Amino acid sequence: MPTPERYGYATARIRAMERRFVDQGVLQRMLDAEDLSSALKVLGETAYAPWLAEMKNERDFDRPISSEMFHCYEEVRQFVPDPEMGQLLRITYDFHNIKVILKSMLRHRRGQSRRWDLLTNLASRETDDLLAAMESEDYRLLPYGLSGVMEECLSVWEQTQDIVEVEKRLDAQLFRALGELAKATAFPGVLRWFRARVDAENIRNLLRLRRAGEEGVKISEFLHEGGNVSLERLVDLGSEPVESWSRVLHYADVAPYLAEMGEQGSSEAMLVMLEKALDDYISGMLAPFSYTPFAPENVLRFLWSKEIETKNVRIVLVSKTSGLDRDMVRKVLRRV
Amino acid sequence: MAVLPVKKVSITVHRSVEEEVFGKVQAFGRCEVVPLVSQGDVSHAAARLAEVDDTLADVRFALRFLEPHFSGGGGGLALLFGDKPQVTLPGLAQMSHNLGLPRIVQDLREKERRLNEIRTEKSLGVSVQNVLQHLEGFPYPLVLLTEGTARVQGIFGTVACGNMDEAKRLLSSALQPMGEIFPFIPKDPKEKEGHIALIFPREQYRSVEELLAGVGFSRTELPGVLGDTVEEEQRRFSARAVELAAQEEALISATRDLAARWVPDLRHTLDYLSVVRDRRSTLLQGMRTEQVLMISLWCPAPEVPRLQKVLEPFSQEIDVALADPEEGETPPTVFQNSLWAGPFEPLTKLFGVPEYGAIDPTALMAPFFVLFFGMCFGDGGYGIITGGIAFYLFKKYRMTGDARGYVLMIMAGSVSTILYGALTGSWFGDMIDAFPFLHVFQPLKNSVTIMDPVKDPMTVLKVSLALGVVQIFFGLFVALYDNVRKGSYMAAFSDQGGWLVFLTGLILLGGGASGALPAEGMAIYQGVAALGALILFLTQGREKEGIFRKALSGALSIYSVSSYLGDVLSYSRLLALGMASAAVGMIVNMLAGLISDVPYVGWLLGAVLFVGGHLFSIAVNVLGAFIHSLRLQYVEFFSKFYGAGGRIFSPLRYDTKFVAIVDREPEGAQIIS
Amino acid sequence: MEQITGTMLAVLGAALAAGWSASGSAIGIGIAGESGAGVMTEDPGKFGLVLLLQALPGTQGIYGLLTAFFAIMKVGLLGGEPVAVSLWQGLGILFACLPVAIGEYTSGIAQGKTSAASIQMIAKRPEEMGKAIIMPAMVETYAVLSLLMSIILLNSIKI
Repeated sequence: MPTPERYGYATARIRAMERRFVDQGVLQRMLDAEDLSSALKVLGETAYAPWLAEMKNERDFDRPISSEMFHCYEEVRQFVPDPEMGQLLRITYDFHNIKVILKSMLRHRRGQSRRWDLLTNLASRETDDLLAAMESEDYRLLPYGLSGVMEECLSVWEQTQDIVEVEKRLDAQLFRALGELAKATAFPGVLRWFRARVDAENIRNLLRLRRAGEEGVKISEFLHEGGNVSLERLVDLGSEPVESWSRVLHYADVAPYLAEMGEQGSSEAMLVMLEKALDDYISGMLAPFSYTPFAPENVLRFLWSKEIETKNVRIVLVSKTSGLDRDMVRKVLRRV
Repeated sequence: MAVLPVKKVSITVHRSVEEEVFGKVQAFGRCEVVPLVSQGDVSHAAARLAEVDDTLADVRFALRFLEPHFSGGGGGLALLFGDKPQVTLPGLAQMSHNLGLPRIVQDLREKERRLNEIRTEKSLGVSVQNVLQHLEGFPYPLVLLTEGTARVQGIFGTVACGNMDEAKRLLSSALQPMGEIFPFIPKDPKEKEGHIALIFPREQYRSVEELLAGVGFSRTELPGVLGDTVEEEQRRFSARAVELAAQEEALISATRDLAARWVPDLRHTLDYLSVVRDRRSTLLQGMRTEQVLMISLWCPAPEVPRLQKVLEPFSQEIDVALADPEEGETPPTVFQNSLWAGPFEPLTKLFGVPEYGAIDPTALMAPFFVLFFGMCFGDGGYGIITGGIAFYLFKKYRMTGDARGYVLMIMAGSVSTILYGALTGSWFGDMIDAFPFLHVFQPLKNSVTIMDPVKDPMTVLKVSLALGVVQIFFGLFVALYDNVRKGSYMAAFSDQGGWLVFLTGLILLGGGASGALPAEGMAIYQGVAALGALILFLTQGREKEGIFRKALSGALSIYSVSSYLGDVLSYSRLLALGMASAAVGMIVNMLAGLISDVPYVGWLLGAVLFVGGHLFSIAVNVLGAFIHSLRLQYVEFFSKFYGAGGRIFSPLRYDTKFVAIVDREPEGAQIIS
Repeated sequence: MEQITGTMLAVLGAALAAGWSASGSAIGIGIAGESGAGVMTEDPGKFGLVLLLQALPGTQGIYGLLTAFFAIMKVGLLGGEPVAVSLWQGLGILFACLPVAIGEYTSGIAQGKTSAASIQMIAKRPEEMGKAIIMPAMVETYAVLSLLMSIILLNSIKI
């Protein structure tokens, strides 16, 4: 059972590492930069600098971004007393990798090429191990309870050939495993964060499914247990217009963030703004812990903020390549 | 005691000379730009800023890359004290211009890229070598395992040690006589996995794969570059590793040379570009029209005439308007302290800058700080040492800024320490009494000694608490003055007046009860205390609604007397810390005395212990003395009248890290290349 | 016999004062040191500031040493002939040492935690050094008060 007293070193180091964050000023300068190469030059003054040389060309900025993220995860992993802290975030990448491998295998059966390039090294487990377990069909070696679901996924695929059904099961397992990890740490802030993650995922799914024209029972299959907002309430929410969600959920912590979104013209813009609002909501759940010097939650807060930071950097750089309107970009930048 | 008044200077300038004008303002260095969201067409100014930002990014990159390899001192201590080499701005500009920055940066980027490549290849090599280690003894070229031939192919991978025999058995029976198996059992028995390499006809791939899955085999992809035999490949990779290490070494050594050559110049260029950047970013903070730019500045009122003189040469192109700060504006705080109080400003800044127009506590606190520092440090000998060090540093370096303030504070504190040490007879603890050969100084020491914190702590305690009462009363008087100055007579009368009367009454009562004051006056003392209490009772609830609430707050406020009591008791630290210095010194002397009885080498051990012990005592006590005398100012004194909440004056000036920019080249100074 | 008991009680008092105070300081400095090491891994340039803050809970140990020193001086065990100490006097000295033994131990640990938090503060905002130093010094007040009481009590025991 982890105790907070053990986090003296880790939290202090985290505080010092926070100084390396890309702050608003730098993001602003990147945004104001004339073109991609000037923006990258600004990025070269930050913690991302060592990785910029890895880029094959200017548009290859995803590589340094994920290198920096990887570097952070590895650094934190070396000194954090509970390995779960890093896994809580990296598990998402594990499931991403599993999906890539699974889809590649299915594609391969049809004679299409495998997509190993989509694999990420940010996951908590070695990609090779996952690959080996999948290829040898020895699912017992899969982590995070995947062993139980994989057989089912494959049989569903055999029957329906519907990849969405398969992904649905993997996502459900992701959130079950995430919940178990969070419970294993037993830190209240981590549990809070987990519930917020579930809420965010549910609300995001809700909007997506509605756009796809799904209803009622079908929607509830895609929602996860364990959030602050109950599933029944969420299903009901499906029939309300998005503008009134914050009113319906007024009792929940997520409401003010939804209210902030305001009205959006297109449903495309709505989804973009919703994603921002939900990220801010999750960050908001962890923010109070910055006032508690030795709280273990600070480690999670740091890693989560780093994830958000990479998101922001990516948004700005993408906007430089596609020439998006600066004010629009500014609106979707997450709070850090 | 108050901060300087400032004027708002609005300059309207024709755009042809804007950069020149603000260059002058920057050189003048006493004006802060009033931030304003830029209006009008700023694209030109923004582009000028982006240009210098771009170069700055290059310089920062170069420094980031080179500085870890730079060993030449940047004049560490001198830099810390703000003693920087002096240069003129044109000289600096010339130097930066001739530097050939793009070429340097390109060279460095190339070096960085190359280093990264080498490191990537190195780590790749290491992982390949690791794999090869497991394959030692494999007799065929590895191409069989990586690509195979037209008829034969190979597989390499790991199997749990427990399954090894099973795997061997199954495979050999399945592959007979067409294939070959090479098991590699790890030498270390703790290792859980062994390796297996197989060669078999291509058509058997399916069956082999199934077999392998059954024994928990997991495949290891071999890098495609491996073609020769294991030994051959190992030799090749080792050779390559040596080669890479040599290349890396050469690159790093070249970088070190570059660092020695360029870092000082790059640092100076960084300063120059920062100056230019500050100036150009200023030009973005104003209102713009087609022809002119209008920017407002805060300038300390007494310096406005000098500013006007600076701007005189441009009288054709600019228009200057003066105004006082208006309601709702937040002018910056400019300290105005006499020569003796100036060095103490860093202490006020540490707590928080006074608001514009409020009282500046620096001069009020400085004498107390020096006195308390002396009492806490409390030893004449220690005072001589710290004072000597501070004086030496002050003479050696041309100090500027806060560092100068701290050194001067230590000097003043040391003088007070020496005086207090003399009064308490403490010279390196009880050195004069402890060592017989120093007894000649005893009469001299004793002639000025009036109290001894170690032998008679109660006297020193009384002195400490009395000083506390004095400083707290002084704080209340300052607050009283401040309220009167602002015209809040009611607050002055009730908040400070009430407490002053009440506390005086209590002290008189205490004095009477303990016999320090004539007992006949008891009735008067009681009267004074009662009057104070009555004032507090009647006035402290004045903000509240309703008679009951008023009375309740009034009555409750009298309980705050406990906080005054706590404040006064807090001054007992003056005794505790002073005593700690003296007593630790005494212990050091005693131990040194004891150890010097050891035959032959005793005197040496004694001397070492004496010097080391006292140095330790100085280090510990000077820290405590500084922090605790500061705390008494912040917590006990400032709380009576001071609220900080201001914003420090940060003028547009030459804000540099490595050089000091001066008007004229100093005589005999070498010109930087 | 009674005299020896009296002297030994005084020695016990001195031992408690010095021992518990030193423990308090050691734990406090240890806690602060952990945070300090964390910050310095990232930013070795903060060594000076971190060392300053880490040293703050060290005074408790010195106060304990001081009190122990006074206590054994009082019974003549240091420099001079041992004096006759009655059982009651010895017990009095033991009790007089308790404020320091308890107060310094607890305040040392508390100050260590505050110092560690202050170290975290300067990791992020080095410009707030002033505030970072004052907060641990607030805790020290109570170490000083404990010392004060022990000294007054020791002083009031007549031998």
